[in-house]
Amino acid sequence: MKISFLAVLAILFVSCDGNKQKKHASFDDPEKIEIRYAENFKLKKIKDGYLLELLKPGTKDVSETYEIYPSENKKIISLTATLNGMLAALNSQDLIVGISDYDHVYDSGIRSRFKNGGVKEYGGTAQNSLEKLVASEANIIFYDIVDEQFPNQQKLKKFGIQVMPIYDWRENHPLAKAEWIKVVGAITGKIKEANAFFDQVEKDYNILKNLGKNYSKKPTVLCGNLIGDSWYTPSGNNYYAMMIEDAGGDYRYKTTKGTISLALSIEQILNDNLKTEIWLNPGYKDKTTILKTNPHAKHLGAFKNNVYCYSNGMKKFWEQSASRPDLVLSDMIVLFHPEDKSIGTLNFYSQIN
Amino acid sequence: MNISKRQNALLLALLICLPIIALIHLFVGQIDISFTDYFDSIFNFDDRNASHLISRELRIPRMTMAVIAGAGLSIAGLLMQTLFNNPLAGPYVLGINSGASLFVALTIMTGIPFFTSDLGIVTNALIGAFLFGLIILFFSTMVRMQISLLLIGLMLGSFTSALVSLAQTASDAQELKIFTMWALGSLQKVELHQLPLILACFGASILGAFLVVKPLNALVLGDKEARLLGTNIKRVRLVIILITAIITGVVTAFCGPIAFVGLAVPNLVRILFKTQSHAILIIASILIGAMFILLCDIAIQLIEPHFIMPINALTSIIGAPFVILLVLRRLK
Repeated sequence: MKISFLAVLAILFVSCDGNKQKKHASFDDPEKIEIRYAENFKLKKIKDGYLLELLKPGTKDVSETYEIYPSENKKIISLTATLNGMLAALNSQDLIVGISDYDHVYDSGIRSRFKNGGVKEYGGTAQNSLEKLVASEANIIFYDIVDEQFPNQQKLKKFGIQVMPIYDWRENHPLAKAEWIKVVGAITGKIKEANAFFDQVEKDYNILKNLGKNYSKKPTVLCGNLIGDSWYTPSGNNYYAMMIEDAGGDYRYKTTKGTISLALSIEQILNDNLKTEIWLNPGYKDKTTILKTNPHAKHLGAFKNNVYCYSNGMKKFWEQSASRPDLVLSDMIVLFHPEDKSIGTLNFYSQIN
Repeated sequence: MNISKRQNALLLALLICLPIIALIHLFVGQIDISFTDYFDSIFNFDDRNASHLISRELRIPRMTMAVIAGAGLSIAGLLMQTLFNNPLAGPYVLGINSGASLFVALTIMTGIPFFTSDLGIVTNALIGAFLFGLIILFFSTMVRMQISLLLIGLMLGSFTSALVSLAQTASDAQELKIFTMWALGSLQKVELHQLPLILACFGASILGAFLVVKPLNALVLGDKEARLLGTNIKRVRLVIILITAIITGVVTAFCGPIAFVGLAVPNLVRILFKTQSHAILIIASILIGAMFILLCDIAIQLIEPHFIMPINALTSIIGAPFVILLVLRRLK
């Protein structure tokens, strides 16, 4: 009797876990998918799917390997705005069943599905409920924290829910961020569309970049704002500094080394930027609020007429800026070279008043 | 005022040291500023000259605010310690800072249309500080043991933290950011044109503190003895709470919460001067408190290229071990 009870139990365990096991394909000669800019993933074609290797942003060692079978990915929980934008760019937003916060979503398709009950809120990476995630019956959850495991990752795996970090924001080239759309293409089974989308973005970006190079007058540009007592602004090798240069701007800290943000004192900022012409991304929607947190900002040369931010279209920016660096670059050219009327209107940025 | 030779020498040394440290503070920073720059920034100011702007708009207000914050919070702490006859009392521990913080948080994050100008934040910080001062005063009449009052102060702090957390969850990203920036504490937010208001509040509080020197000396003997000596206890308590609220409110409004100065400095002054004369204690608290914050801020600016530290963090790092030492010393 005891033996038969244990046997039943064992069968139950095997069957519970067994139907969630991944198929192990043979990876003898996987076909590499061309990745031109991104440094934090590698993608290979295997039978019926793809092999995705995520690389650690610092060391470039393989941190995790995923077998992706597009036919299995019917329900996606996207806790990162970038992914929402990329899924929308591939017309795959219907696969989304979960988001972090409705108030952070820009895409009208996702918003209307949320209103109809097809998409639910699950909170940020740290605040989600295990039970709610399991009940969602999602196949995959995307999140964007580096070097940290998703809470209850192993338990979710047992329920057949894969979790995958998205490192696009740690890439150091604007087009590298956009190239993550190939990962989304692999997941949704739309790799051809993703490749075509990226090729077009790359082409448009390079056209604009060539245009930016040729402007003879390059306005000086400052970025960021005070957080506490330090002014955070991109280092010279940061992707955003790169974009300012590509747009024909003269970034004030272009000669600094590194890719992370610089932390400068307000004295240094005032000393360097009294005559700087353009100030980008002060982090607030209006000048009154800027002055509340940083009263000395009024001394900056750009403060009077040339402060610009994406804060009035924040949701759109967070969703689309990674996959559409060409649009961000186009905005920068419009701001830096208003005399050139050939570019068109602003996509994300607006003047701060 | 009876003053020993040792106390006299100490006060003289402090009087000499304070201007020297203040002068050093003026010349420490990321940018080299000369005497000429300071002179020109005052008498030939050119707002297109970075050195003039940094001298006049950043360093002079920052140095003045450091002096006011250090001296003011130390006096507030001294008055609270005498009022509650408890060396561990202080505006931070007793929740007066928390009251100011709560009201600033409510102003920034709940959109209460009270005031939106700088004066609005100051007024709210003052109301918060004064209200929580009165609450502590009320409880002080109900409890006998000193430790109970400290516990009540800590509970008030926890209570306000919880309310601030609630306000934070209900606020939008921008409001949350503004409050977080304010709560980090900073001496550099103050502008030159705000100094007259701050100096007026500070001057009035110092004057008030000197006016209650006699009752303060009497309070050291205990409430009964003070009454016998003709002290109007109720009035003195109210005046002390008012002075403390004004100083704490103004400093907290313009610099954010600065911990432990009000607790640590008066105790240090008592250890150094070994006196119960509040005239001496007030003068020494002003000098040592001002020097303490100036030195902290000099240290912050020197390490800034390598490591960023808010003023509130540094005062806590120095202040918390000092309080532990103080408690251990008393237990012995």
